[in-house]
Amino acid sequence: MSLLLKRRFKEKSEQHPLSPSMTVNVETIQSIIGQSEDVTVRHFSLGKEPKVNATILYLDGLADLQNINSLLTQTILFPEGKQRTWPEIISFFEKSGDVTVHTTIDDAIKALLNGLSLVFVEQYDRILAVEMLFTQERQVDIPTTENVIRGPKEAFVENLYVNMALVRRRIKDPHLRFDSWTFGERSQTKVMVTYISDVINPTILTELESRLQRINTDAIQSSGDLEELIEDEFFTPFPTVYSSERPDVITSHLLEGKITLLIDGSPFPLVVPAPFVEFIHSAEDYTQRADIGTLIRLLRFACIFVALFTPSLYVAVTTFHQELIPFNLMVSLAAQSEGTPFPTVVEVLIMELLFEIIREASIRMPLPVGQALAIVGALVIGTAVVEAGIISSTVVIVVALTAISSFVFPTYSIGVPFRICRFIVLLFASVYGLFGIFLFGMILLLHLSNLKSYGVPYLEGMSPFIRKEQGDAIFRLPKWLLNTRPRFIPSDRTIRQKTPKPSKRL
Amino acid sequence: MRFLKLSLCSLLLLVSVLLSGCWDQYELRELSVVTGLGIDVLDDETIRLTVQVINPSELASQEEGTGRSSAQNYETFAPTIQEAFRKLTEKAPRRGYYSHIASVVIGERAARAGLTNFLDHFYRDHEIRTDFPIVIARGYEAKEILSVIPPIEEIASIHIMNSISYGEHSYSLVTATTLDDLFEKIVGPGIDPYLNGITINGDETVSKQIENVEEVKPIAFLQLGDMAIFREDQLVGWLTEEETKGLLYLTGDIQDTAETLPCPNGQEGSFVVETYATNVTMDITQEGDGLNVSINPEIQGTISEVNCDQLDITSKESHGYIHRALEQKINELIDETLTRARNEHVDFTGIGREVYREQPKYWKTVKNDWYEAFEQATIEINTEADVVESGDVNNTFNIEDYKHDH
Repeated sequence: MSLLLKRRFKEKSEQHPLSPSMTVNVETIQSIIGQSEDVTVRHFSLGKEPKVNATILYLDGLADLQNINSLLTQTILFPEGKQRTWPEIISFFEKSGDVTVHTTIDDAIKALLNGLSLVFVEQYDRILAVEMLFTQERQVDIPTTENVIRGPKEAFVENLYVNMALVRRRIKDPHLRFDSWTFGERSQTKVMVTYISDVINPTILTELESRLQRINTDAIQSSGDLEELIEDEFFTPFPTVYSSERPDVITSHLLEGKITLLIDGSPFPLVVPAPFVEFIHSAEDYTQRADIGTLIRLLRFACIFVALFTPSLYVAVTTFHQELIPFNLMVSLAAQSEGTPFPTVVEVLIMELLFEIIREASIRMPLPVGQALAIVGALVIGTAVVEAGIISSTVVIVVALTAISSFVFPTYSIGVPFRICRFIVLLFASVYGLFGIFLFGMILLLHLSNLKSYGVPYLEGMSPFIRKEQGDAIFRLPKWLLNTRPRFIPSDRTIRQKTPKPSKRL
Repeated sequence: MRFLKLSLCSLLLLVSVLLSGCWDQYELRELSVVTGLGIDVLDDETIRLTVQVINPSELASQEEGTGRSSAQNYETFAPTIQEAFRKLTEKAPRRGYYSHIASVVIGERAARAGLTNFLDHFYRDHEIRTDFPIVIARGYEAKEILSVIPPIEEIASIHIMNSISYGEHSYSLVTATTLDDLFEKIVGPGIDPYLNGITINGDETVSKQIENVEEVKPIAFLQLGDMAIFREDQLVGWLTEEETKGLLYLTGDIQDTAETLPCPNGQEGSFVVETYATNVTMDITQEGDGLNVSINPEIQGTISEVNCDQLDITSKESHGYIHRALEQKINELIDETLTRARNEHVDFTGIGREVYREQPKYWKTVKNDWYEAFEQATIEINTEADVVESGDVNNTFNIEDYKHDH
């Protein structure tokens, strides 16, 4: 497969030399593109005496037609008489947009496909690419996946330049860098490696660049594509690259010294390195006061355990360790399970799978149908299975509790490993009881301790335990105490702020 | 190589799953939850084990049940406890589950024969917890006690557990003795166990029927009563109510109780002190062959009821009187208990254990006939009472005072 791809790339990279004749050049380009409908060719002349023939070539829909039309009407104003020199021609077209000069057909085609308009002038063996772009873009809108109560309400869009502007507007620092990379032999996707040059750890940047250099693919369609190509470990359900659609979240990571990849066509920039706790943090933690920020974080961490272990604890306790259940609870549990046909673990598995099905369906469904789905899911299935005596009602409670807890995570990607692990630990619990849960917990901890994200331990701050890192991990100290950047930033760049504790004079 | 390692690991895991997993897995609906056990010894020395099993769907149902009983009692007969447990399978449809036992009732006859005859299994078996209270059925057999339909709780075994734990905290004629305590006292040197008695008050033939609880005043009910006292593991007799109180003062097991005391100067009426927070220290000295024991209970109390005309509880003299009256009462109670213990040749008081701890050399000389030495010992009781509060009011209201005002 990879061999095949390589050969195809080679084929593509054969060079087409520029011909001295304008018409030949235009024809060559048209033949390479394949007489495509959206390629428009318009002939015009520059000035009156003597007339110089010229041709403009652009893609319908990508080029700004209004701008091109006004350019063509202005050609009459082209300076007359004199010998026309390149600088003169270039400066004429620069009035309409940024101009780059190409000397090969292939470069010109690349520019054309990026939406630039190609100008050919008779007797000049150069191609001008004029940037007259027409962009039909989605407006900067409110975030759809990461909502906050108090905090900025804008989210990234698909357009790379809008996203760059959103970042730049928040960090007006000359050290903010956008290093441009292009990936995808065919998609030519632009990616901006964004960082603040005097804050980051250069070794992490070097590591990222070396991973980016390895990329050899035909297309990058979304940030997920790129994430898979640059992440640390494949054999883990845990994400080692962070992503967010919120500009404020991305810039706060930049300010901490992390590196961001803005990807054209994707509203979800990536952030590296990404230790585990970052996924549990929400923008809300910082927009609210420190006390509630901390409490909500504690709740979220507790929800990890609820989402991961509730079904398995239920199975373990009710089928292996009945002595742990308080007597009255045990009586009512026993009464409910009276007459249900399946073993407890099968009951839980059925309900968990059912929930996963409903969840998947409700994401893909059009909104009006979603309501019908909610009714079917909640009423028909939830109530009916209990009343029909197929599933005991406690199992429904357990699964509902798990489901709600799994929606607490601020980033969608961190919910996924717990969704997967929930089923594995359920099997452990159904075979070994509590012992199995502990066994799984140990395996999970070993695995997590083994993970790294760009050289930073995944459990940074917790394992190994670093006291200094605790200020913004499980707890959230007030801003005037969060003076330093994370540990992976070189020590001479680590100080973020020196604001003292607020004091009052009145 | 890595793949090989991984597959080897998963193979080992799979093997351990298949070989060892699930061996003690039972679904809740496969279990009969046992809440009460009754043990009787019959004339031919066989043991009758009464096992009270709950019926969860009746016990938990919020609506009107189907009319079935909330519990069933199964009886099995065997020469040993373990065999009796196993014989249960002949009668019960499900596996018995013994971790939620609420109480164990032992028949009087079985207790007189000796508890160690059958308690070993309870201590040995890993499934049975040892934190349930044990009571002795007085005048009835254990199976009859467990057959009573109690008025509020649904089943007898849970009724016993709850009334012990409540009674322990408010009147202190009862004390929860768990299997652990019992063993410690049977085996420990110089101390004998005592256990609460339980009896049926009322018509015991009706007590097993639902009519029993259809009236406001139940026809028959379970009543926790006097203490059963043991020599080693054999029941030797029953303490009266006063003696029981004395015993619990002596051992410091009183958590909260009420003492009625006479009014000063021989007047009619009485007042009540609620006593709590007892702490007992013993001083043991030994001179020649004689043993001097001084028992010093420290008791705190609160005046909780006053029916005396002339008891001015704000005055210093009355304060002294109240203290003296309480101390005297408790001294008498303890003395009565001690006299009984010494006469019966039983040491449930724990004085022997105190001697063992304080005078180990002397203990060695008397341990074989400690009951004799106990009887001969000089025992002195010095209660120190401290009544610090009087509830929400000082002196009681006097009707005469109000008559003059109007």
